[in-house]
Amino acid sequence: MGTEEREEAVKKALESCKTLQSMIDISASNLNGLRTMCETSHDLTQTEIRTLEGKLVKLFSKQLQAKNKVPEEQRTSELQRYPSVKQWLEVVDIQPVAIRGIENKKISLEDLLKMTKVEIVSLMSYYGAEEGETIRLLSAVNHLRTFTELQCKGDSTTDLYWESWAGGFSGSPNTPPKRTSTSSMPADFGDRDPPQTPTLRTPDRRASDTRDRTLYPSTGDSETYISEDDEEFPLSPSFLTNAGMTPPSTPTILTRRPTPPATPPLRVIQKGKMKTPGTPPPSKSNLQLPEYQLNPLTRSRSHEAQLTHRTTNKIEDYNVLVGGTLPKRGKSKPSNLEIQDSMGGSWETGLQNSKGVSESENRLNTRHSSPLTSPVRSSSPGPYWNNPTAEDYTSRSATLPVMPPRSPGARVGRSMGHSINHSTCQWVKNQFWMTQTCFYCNKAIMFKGVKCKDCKVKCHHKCAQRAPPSCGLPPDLEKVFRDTLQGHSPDLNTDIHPNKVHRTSSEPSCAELRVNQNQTVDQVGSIGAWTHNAADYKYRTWSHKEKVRDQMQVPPFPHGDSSSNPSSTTSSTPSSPFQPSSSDSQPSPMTRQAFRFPDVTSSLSGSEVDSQGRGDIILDCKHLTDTVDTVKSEDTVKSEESQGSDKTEIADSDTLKTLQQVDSIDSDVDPMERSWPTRQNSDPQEPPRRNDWRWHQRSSVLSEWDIPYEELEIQDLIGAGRFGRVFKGKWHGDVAIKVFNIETDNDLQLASFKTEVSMFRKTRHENLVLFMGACMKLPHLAIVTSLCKGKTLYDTVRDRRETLNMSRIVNIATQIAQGMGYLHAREILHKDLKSKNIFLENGKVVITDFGLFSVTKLIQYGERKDDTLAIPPGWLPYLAPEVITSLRATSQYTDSDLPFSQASDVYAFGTVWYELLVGDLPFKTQPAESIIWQVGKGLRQSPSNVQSRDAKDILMQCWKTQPDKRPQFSHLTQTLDRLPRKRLTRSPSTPLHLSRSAESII
Amino acid sequence: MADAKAAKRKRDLNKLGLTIATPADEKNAAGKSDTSTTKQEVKEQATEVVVPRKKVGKGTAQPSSSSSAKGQQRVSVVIKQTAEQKSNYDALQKKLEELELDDQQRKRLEAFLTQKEQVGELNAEDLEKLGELGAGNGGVVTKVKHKPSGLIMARKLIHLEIKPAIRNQIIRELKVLHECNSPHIVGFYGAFYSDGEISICMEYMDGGSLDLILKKAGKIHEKILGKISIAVLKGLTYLREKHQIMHRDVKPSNILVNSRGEIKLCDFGVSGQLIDSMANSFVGTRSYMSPERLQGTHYSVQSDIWSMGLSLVEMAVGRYPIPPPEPKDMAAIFDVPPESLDPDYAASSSSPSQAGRPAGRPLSNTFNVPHPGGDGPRPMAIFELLDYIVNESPPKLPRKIFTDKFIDFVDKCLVKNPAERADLKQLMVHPFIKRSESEDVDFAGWVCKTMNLQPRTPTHTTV
Repeated sequence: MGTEEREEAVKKALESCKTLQSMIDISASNLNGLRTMCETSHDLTQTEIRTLEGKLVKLFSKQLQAKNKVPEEQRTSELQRYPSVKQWLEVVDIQPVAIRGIENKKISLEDLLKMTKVEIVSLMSYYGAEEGETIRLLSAVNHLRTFTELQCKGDSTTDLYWESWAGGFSGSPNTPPKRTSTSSMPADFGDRDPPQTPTLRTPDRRASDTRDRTLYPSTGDSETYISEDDEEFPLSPSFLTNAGMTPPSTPTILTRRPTPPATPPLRVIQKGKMKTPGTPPPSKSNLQLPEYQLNPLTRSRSHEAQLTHRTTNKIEDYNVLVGGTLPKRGKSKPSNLEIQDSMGGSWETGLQNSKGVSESENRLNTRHSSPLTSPVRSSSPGPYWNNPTAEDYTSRSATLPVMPPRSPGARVGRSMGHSINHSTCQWVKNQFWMTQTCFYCNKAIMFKGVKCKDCKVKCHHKCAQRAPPSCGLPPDLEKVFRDTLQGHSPDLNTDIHPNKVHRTSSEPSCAELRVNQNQTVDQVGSIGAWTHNAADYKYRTWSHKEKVRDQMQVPPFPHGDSSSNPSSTTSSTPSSPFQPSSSDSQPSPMTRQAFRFPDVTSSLSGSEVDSQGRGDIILDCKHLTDTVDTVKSEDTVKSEESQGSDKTEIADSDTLKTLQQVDSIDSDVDPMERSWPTRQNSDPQEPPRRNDWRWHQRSSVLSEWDIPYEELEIQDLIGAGRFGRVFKGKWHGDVAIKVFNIETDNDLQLASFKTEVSMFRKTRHENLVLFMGACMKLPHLAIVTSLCKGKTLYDTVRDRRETLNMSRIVNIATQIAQGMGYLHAREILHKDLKSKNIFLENGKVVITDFGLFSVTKLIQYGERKDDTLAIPPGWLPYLAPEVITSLRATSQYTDSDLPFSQASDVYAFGTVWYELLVGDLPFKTQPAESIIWQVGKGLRQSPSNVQSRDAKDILMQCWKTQPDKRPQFSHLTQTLDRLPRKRLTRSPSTPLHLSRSAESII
Repeated sequence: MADAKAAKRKRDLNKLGLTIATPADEKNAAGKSDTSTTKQEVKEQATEVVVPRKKVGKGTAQPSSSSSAKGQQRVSVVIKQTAEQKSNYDALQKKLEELELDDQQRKRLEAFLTQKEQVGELNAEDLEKLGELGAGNGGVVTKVKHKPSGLIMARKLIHLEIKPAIRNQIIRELKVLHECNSPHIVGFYGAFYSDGEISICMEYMDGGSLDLILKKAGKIHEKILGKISIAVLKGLTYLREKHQIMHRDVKPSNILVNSRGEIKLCDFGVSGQLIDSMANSFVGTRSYMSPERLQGTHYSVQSDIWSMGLSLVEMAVGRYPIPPPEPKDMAAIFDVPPESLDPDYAASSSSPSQAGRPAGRPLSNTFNVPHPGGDGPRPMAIFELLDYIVNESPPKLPRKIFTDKFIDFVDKCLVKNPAERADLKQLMVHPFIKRSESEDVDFAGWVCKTMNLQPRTPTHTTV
């Protein structure tokens, strides 16, 4: 072979390698996009991922082949760079530490291919890789090997994926592969290139998958590897079992096992050095993963994005959006990943200069992944999946910073930034005389605020967002923290790049993080609804911004080179979440809030980030004003027709958050809220223009909700109540139409009706009936809501066939309490909570008719006498004593006559609880006057059949005569949560069972 | 036709456990009543039978015609007899005898039953609305004419959106009313369901209810109240002894009178299901509910006695007596100088209750009595009123205006402890009742005068 020929061959090989490399890059980023942004539990996503994985295997294989065409000794160092073992590992989704380790050991892909399973396993375990990673790597390597061999035979039909969603991934394919030239290139690859007999041929994909991803006990020294390979294939399942490994192909197990992530509270980087990542216990949410099915379907990517987007739950959307907009440090590589050994607790020296950012990002990522991400991923925070390489990022030239998630419990180590967010919950000042000052703004808290559950710090709602993440700081340090904080006063008005507008990020609190990990609706609810609002809101705005961003093509944030300290810029400038109350001059929570301990010097870039961050926010808010408009128009009356993503969020998601995020928007737009004293008081910086802006919107807001009466198709009468009649009807589907008998000439009533309507549109909660709009033009006044198709709770508790065990009762009550807690958080009183206004739709509670009482003002049908009060059947038992003693014998009722309050709603809830326990109303057989007197006198009907002390306690708490002694719904949810439901359901001798069965016997 | 009708009637009667006179028995009955029937009664009977289709002797009853002949005539209109009907008649006769009715009462009752028998099954198409009588609790009462028979009835319409099963249960429960045949209970023609409403057709009482009369009369004289007391006690006794039910809602608006001087109870709680299904219950500025019932404890017919006592006080004074009027108001009501009211009243009704009341509860000014120059009274909170009933001393009648017997009678009714309260038997022999029974009061005349009715009976009659 002449030199020229050789050079030619090398050149050719190099070219094809380069071509292939670009394809690999694309595929890898696509793959990462899918992993990060899609719900990987979804069939289509999985299919897509599989396809990509297969494609990548082929591409790598081709690279190898191209490379192998050149004799080893002739390969140039450039050629030697291909294929990139690093990228391969990233594609396989190995955690950065291991990647770096392997890279540093100059192990080439070829070397890897030649390694035995044992070697790979031991290599991986040396780097502290998770089982899942090892399994994946083994599988992937095996595929690559197999494919390479097969390709020589012209057989390329094998499935070549390793189902990376199964255990998270690492690496950011978006990052250009590190061109590490492996000096120790095995010379024998070329020899193997010719038809090799793979030990394992797996026409049956699943079978091979199972075996391939088997984990081997690590035996050997990881430094040594033997070229013999495959001899250990296949592994018998029994072996696996014996080895304590779960055959990974069992999807349920597979998805759960490998996830325990290392969770360093902070990423601390030191190039080239690595730490063995620890393995915290798997998060609970892992157990909730849906099983995936192997679905042979493949989809075009263009469809995929949409589809997956649709199907994901919005939490994940949120994350992607946030994540997607985070400026990616351009060349961030996995090697930059800072993995901290949470167990060892030792830290790498390189200090992130903005811990807050990374912190919040961590949380974001931890919390949920992108629309394209599976719950698996989102719920299993780990270093792997946290390295986002979304396709979106490529297209938008924005990438996610890579960072390991931090476990909420992890505390800060020495010489590092402190950034622990408060897990706030709502807090109501119950002792007015006590002075409480806001932790953030040092101003007095008037009535309500939020309180961190951990460190008991209190602050205004407004300030909570901006409060520094100082949770757990010792007092003296906290002082320094605050001083630092005040140094960064938030009114810097930096001129910034418009793109940064989008770089809003949110900062879910610890609480949210926890929620996510547990991911049960119940738990979500138990945490103060407030916690979610800001983040959700942010998410929401993001979803709209995203579109804009797509068009704007945000250039990536200036990144450092991979070799440079990645910490500074990586941490995408976090922008503040949109915060209605403080639209301007909102400080960037992340940069600013990140507390740097006094002895730590922050890098220059940090301050840059700071100012930029703040600038971001200012722009943000302006931008958001527009966004809100958009949002409003989209999610209002025409919510049904609103865009896919929005709609899907609502349709698909069952969580509180969707609803709330919309709410926060609504509330933001709502002029009515302007008068909330807490808000105003707590926000000294409230700009005057905000009010104008809000007021300006009012009329348009109302008109958005107006449904022309003609558009309604009124069908059967389904009920008549105090307020009028309820019809089944059609308006873009089945709806319930409540037609009011309001005197058409009563302006006051009309105004009150409109006020109520403007309240209703704020109500978005899983357990509240969906308000769709209203007819607000006389003479047709009607409210259109979604149609409740289930049975009322009233009927359910009285249905002898229904078996309401304690667990179910508690579940129902919890949902009611959640819905009511939400209403109260939105400052809406139900005023007419009763079992007839509660529907059960497949176990889901839907509360209806809230707030209508004041509209209707005891409007009666039939005759009315001036000196009599018509009392609807079953109304009195729900009335709190303070309300019942205010009843007067007159039909001329005004709302103010009856002192409804949150506490009176709680009383009504108590009655519903009684109904759930007993199966009927208290005072059932008694005439109205008797009930009025007895309740007014403080007499309560004891649920004699119920012997559960806990259940009775709840009842008596809710039924307290003193309104202020009754618990709040948020508290009730917690109390209900603690009820020992198991005990009651198990024991057949429980009083509840007895009472109910006795009843049914009779 | 007649046979078919007879058969149907028989069926109905059997179903109702109700029997009616058959010709053969009618003869006996007529023979029996011969001795006691006076001319006047015959005349009265003639006027009372308003059915135009009754050709024979009806409406043209001669003063000279014997009661026996009249009985024959009436009976002849009624259907042919059978042995079965005979036994039914016997049963009815026995029941009527048990009631210890006087002849007039018995004849009226028989006449009503005869008319009712002609009516048969009621339906909405046969009823022609003549006018509105008023709105009661949960329903509108209209005056209607039963077109086939020409009978005038009162029809109470109760709007109920309920399932057929419930509706049928109500109709079934209401059929108990068929058996409530007493001179002191409003007659019942039947009940049916149509268009979402339960119709209860009752005897039309042209005098209306006592609350209407009270409004017109201002207050009602003790002697009249004596007659009312007797009727109410007898009615309650009848319900209790014959049907083991209590009224549960004794109040002036549920005591009806007519121009014949009859006093009858209506609206008693015969159908529990109806009560449960009623769309709304109405609570007004007045409550006649006994303290023990308000407190949710066990209650009995004694509760009705409280209600009756309270109703009597209200009618005697002319206004709902809770809270009690101030002495000066009471004096003004009876147009006497306040000093003339015995100190007892002031002490019992006004001062103690004022003292017992929480401060800042100016009851008499806020309740029922308009503010002088104010913009009307703000109604007392219902709870306040009820709490007054439970916790304050019961209302009293002022002495010197009412006789001691009457005062004692209501005092015995208005004892808060139901055990200490007089029961029906004790009250029936109370001096006030004994005195009232012996008194000759033109009740019919009073009703007609008060309500501007044409007297249907020429002379006053005793009840």
